[in-house]
This record gives sequence, structure tokens and C-alpha cells, in this order.
Amino acid sequence: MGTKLKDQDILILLRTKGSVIHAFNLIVELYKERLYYHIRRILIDHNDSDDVLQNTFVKIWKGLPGFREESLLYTWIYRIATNEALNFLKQKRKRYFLLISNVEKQLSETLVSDVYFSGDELQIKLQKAVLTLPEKQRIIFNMKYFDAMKYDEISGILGITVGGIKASFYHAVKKIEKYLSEN
Amino acid sequence: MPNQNKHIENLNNIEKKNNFIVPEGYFENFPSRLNGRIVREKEDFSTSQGLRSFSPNKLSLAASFIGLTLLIFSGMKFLLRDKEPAGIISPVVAEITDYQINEIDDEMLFELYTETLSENQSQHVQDETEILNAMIEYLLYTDMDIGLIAQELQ
Repeated sequence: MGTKLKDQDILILLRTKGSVIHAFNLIVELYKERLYYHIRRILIDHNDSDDVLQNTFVKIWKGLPGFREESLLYTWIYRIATNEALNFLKQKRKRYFLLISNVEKQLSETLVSDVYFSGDELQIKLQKAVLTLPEKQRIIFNMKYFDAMKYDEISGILGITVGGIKASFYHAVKKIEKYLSEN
Repeated sequence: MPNQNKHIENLNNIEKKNNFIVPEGYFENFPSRLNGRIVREKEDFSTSQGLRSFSPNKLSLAASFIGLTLLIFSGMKFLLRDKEPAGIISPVVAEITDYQINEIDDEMLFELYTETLSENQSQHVQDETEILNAMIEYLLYTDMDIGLIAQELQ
């Protein structure tokens, strides 16, 4: 990730008295797009993603004064975003009494009708294939394949061992390949 | 893992691009919208804190204080109802009449007056202070019914 230098700037601001707001503004500027797409790949829908992105930054704003650098800054930020997205899906299931498979089916339908999706037939097929994966596996696949994150970075964010991440990614790839060949 | 490479090779045949798009100006406007949201969260938090501060214990304390104030005020009115301002002067007059006018000059008269005045005042204040202290002590250490107090004062 090319933002380690800028993360250091943020941490310096955090350690400086009275600069939390500046640190937060810098975080928003640096992370808003990356977090948005990370969340969007989980939730598919733009409006839902916008809500969750705001929730994420509000949580970051509230937690920033107490950030103790026990983890890397970007790990902490991405963890909040991922948890917020997963909680949103959980709430959606509860609200509409949806089963797990129904949520993914609904997301797949959203993809097809979404005006904010600009892929060709193959791209849509790939996204649908990704949506057939279990939640955590889908997130791992997105982070590795689309975000080009390293295994140890994904491990830090999700709290899963590097070996577990690698295995999960391998199985995700197999499933997607199978889906693409059968559809 | 050769199998894995084959799978990845097939995936790599698909152009890796970001197909999710956003409304125009979304990211440019996002910080200001986020700021509005944070301000609203702060206002909601302050309101809830304010409401929480009006706990039942604090409300009863406030009511007790109001009752105490009313009681003190009424007590003072009751105690002071027959006090004559002239009472302060009448002992002076009594003192003066004991003397022959010829023997009192202005300076003596003034000293006599101020001595008597301060005595009466200090006695008056002492009495009043003792009464107030007794009332405060009673009110602080006695359970009271605010409704009954209001009734008593009517």
C-alpha cells in the first residue's frame, strides 16, 4: 500500500495535541474512495454503501482520540468498514427475514438492475460468481483480487491467519471458476 | 499449486476493472455531507445528555430547593409582620428622655443613637439568623411533603 507514509502523517497529527480533527480530515481524504469500493463490493447497492461509509467514518471519528496504535491505522480503519458492512447485511436479513442465500440472490438482482454498475456480460457474470461465495470468503477474494492487498494485510484486517486467508482465497477462486464454466 | 494457477489464469482472462460507478461529484461532496452527519450526531448526543441530567433524583432535589425557598420566604414574612421600624428608634427616644436635654450635645446624641441602633440591629439580625438556621436545619433533616408545604403556605 502506498499510503504508509501518509498513515505516518496521520499518526503524528494524532499524537499532537489538538490535531485530531486534522488527522480525521486527512483520513477521510485518503480513505473515502478505497473504503467506498471495499464496502460497495460487499453491499453492491450504492445507497447502502453510502450509508455504511458514513457510519464507518462516524465510528472512526468517535474512536480516533482513543486509538492506541495497537494495530496499524489502515488495519483498524478497514476492520471498522468491514464490520459495518457485515452488520448492515445482518440487519438487512433480520429486517426482511431473509435467509443467507436470499440476501446474496437479492444482491445479484440489484447488480443487474443497478444504474451505477457499468460492466459487460462477462463482468456481471464474474460479480454474480463472487456473490455465490460465503461472506468472509467473498471479502477475502475482493481484497486479494480487486484491491491487490497482501495476505498479511488481509489477515490483520479480518483477524484470520495468513494460512487461512490463502486457503480461503484458493477455494474462492475454484468456486468462481466453476461458476463461470457452468454459466 | 498448479490447479490454482490454472484457475487464476482463467480469471485473468477477464479484464480486472472496477465496474462500480458513483453519481457525479459523489466523492467531492462526501466530506461536507459527512460533516453534516457528525454535527447531527453531536447535537443528538447533547440532547440525550441533557435529558439524562434530569434524573428523578435531581428533579426531587430541585423541588425540595423550591419548597425550602418558599418556606423561608413565608417564614420571614410571618416573623417580620409586627416589626416596627420605629422600634429601632424608640429605645433611643427612651434613653434620651432619661437625660436632661441640656446635658446632651450633638456628639453624645449621635453616639447614643448609633449604639442603640447597632444593638437593636444586631439583636434583630441575631434573632433572625437563629430562626433561619433553625428552619434550614429542620428542612434539611426532615422528610417533607412538598404538596403539604404548598397547602400550609396558602
